Amino acid sequence: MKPTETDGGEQPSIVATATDEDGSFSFEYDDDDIEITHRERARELFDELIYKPAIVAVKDRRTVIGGLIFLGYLLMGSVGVLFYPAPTSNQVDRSIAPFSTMDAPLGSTAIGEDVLSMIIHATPEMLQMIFAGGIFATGIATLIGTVAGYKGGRIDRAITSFSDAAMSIPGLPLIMVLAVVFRPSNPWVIGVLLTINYWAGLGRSIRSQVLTLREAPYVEASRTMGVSTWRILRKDIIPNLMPFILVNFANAARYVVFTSVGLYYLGILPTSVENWGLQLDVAYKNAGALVADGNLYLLVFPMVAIMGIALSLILLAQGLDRVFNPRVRTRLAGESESITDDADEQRSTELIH
Amino acid sequence: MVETDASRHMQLNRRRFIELSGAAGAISLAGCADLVNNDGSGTDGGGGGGSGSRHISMTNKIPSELQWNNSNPSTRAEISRRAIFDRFVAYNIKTGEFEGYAISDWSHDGSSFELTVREDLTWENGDDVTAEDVATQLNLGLKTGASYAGYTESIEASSEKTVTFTFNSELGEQIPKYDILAARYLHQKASEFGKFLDQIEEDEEAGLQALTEFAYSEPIASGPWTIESKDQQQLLLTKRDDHPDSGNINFDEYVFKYYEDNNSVYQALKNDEIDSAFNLYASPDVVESFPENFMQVQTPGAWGYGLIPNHDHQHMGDRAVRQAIQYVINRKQVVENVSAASKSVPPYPVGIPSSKQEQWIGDHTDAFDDYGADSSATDKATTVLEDAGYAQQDENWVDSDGNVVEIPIIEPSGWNDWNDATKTIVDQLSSFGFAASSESRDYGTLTDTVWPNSEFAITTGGWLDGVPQGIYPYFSLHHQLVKNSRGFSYNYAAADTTRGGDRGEVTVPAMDGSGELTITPSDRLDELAVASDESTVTEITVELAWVTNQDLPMVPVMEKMGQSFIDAQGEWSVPEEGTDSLGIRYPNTWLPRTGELEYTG
Repeated sequence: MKPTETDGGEQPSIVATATDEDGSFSFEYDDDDIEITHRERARELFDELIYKPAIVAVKDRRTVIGGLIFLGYLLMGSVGVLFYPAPTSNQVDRSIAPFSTMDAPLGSTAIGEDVLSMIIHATPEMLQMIFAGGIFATGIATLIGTVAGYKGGRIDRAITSFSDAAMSIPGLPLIMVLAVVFRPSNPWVIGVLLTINYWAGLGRSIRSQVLTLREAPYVEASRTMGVSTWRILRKDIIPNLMPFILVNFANAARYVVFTSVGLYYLGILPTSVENWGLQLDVAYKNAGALVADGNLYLLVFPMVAIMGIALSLILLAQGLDRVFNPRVRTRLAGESESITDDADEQRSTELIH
Repeated sequence: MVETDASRHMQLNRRRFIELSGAAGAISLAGCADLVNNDGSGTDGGGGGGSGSRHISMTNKIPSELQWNNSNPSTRAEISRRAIFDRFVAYNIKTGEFEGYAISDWSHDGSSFELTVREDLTWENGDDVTAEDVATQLNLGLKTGASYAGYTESIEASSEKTVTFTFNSELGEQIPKYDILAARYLHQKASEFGKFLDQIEEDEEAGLQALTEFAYSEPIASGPWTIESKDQQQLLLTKRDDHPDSGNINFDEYVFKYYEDNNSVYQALKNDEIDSAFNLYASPDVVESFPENFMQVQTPGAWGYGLIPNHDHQHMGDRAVRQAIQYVINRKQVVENVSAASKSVPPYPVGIPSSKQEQWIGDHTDAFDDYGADSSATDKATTVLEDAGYAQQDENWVDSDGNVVEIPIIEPSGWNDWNDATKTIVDQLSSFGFAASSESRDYGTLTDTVWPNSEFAITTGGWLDGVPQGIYPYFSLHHQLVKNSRGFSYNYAAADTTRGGDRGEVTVPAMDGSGELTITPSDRLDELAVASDESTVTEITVELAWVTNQDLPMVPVMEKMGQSFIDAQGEWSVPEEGTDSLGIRYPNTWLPRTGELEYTG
């Protein structure tokens, strides 16, 4: 964490006893004094990782709403698929209108598949793609951006040239070609494939953030103390970039959602899994949903599912910024009175696209 | 996409040109950007169907790229060529009659067949249509492996207006009629195409290559319309006054507007932008949304969705597995899922189209297995599999070595109706315990590599030969057993070497239930081709149908009706629904010639 923070348990609690047994002043301390019990450590971790972020999160409506929606998708993709039967043809009557029977609350397709079931069972793969794509894109971007920005010089030039080259490849056509050649069916692989050159732009902007951070006094102090580069990156630089990275993680996730839906819609990705994009494709092509007005629901529901998850990711991205902003967090968690500037609460990190 | 419009003129199998029927092209990447509605503009001034005396139809290929060399499968025109060129004869699917047209008369005499060219017919440049023109075109077919190449020795222009076929041996009358006359158009004028024939004589490979690469972009019309202009959006044809039937046509222009996919055609019909659409699959919901003035004309396709197993595959090559698949598939459910209005259930899985099954095997239906047309006959499937050494393990069927029976069905992407059918079948097979799955591929990839190179365990494909030949059992049986018209290298033992077989024997249980029947289908088909007395024809047909029913070289699932739409009220008058003349394919290009499609606006 940022050295400006007032909390943290890394410094041993030095007890400067005023007098020693012989009455003289000493800086020595008892071992017992610095021992932190497991309980305390756990409590600190809890504070750090859950309590404080939670406090900040619940204070912000965006995080709450975004989180709840996303939680809904998580539940749908984990518990929902266990309890709700998977879509198969002729599981219910054909072409049932939505909201007319509990057998198929959102209606059914021309081949008798339950629309709700299709939406629910497309969720796990979508979440896997999101995580795979998000982690891959932000992971690579962070690594490349921080190393390039911090090391500078030749390494910087080499890495920057490489990511510039990657950035100059048109993303979508590249993905299409790769999808056709490799025909991936594993959602984790698809997620990575979709963000195959998404990291480049993000890496660039992380690099520029690092360029400013590397001159910060606490980084300089670490350097002077001979701390290794890797440790500086890990302890000083990356934690300060976390808000930025997480916001962009959410954006990468949103990108994965839209791209995968688009490619499934176009029939580029193999149709081996359920996907909302596939549903749109089938609704448009097979059911003629744009022409036959009565079939419009086949387009609307998967679209709502896509919009819902995208909206939750946007809200989370905005909300997370505040969760990771140490100053806001400290104040809201009630540990510092030093920050009283209300304006700070309004600030949020710009989203990088 | 529109289901393929099977063109039977050319089967360039020699040169790996297996039926690249353009109408069926899958979505190209380039076309993806604008799927919703590609054509809001256009030259149609008024909002309603057609302006002035102009008939507006559709094409799903970019007009400026079209070419009319039927021997070149690339960007070949599909519908407009039926307007620009005259058909040999008008074959009526409804009545089964052949009505002379560009070929006004024909006669069959055992080992020869004579065609008489219509007397007053001219090309658009004023030249008479001669026997030389017809012979040139048919001889090119002979060189490129057209279906009649197998039994034809020579084709000659024996007089100014007479073309004579000489066959290798005696031939029944039906085969040349269906094969040579029924689906052919007069499109290769000797002055333009004769040079290729010479070239092929000199150097076959180079000549064939030149022919199949020739882009005939300014064709000389034999039909009543000629090309006026073409651009990205439309192909404009104007009426030829010197065509013998131009007096029947009371409108001046014929326009083919470009719509890149079915949905944009649906939109155009819905908005009454066009006057007719051909060979367009539309589900009942979609048809419902069209304005009432459109009449739907349905013609039997003698073609339809089936599964083509690779007979070299470990499991698909096993008759028991094929039979189990056929038992498990509930054909009626598939048809109803796809479109009960435009698809039908074949009563018996055999190499004969549904409408002709009663006629040919009606007396033997007790013996034939229908494999459960309207149910999943899982009991029978279980029996047949268990008898062959398969067993169910953890709900999955495994063979005697413990390998799971996987059924990965490869299908063309973007073929709406087929994709629905495959999905249904995958579900049916999966619930029975087969590890079934589907994978869609671009149609071009299928025809170029997957099918000819046997890169499939099982794939979707037409189990019949298509109208009109497919109507006649010789052709449909030939398609299933020996040489399918789509280039599936399915490695069936009895098949031709170009289809992965060696024209070998097939052994099936005897039809009367005692013993076995071993025959060589290709030999029996040759006998069928020359048979002239009815009892022999029936005997061989039943025997071969029995082989297809027992051995299932292909797995029939459904049969289609071709759907065309014509503006029947408003500005156009057409025959009433049910009229016989609607049994002639492509009514929007045929009816104007007879004066039955008239502009009344």
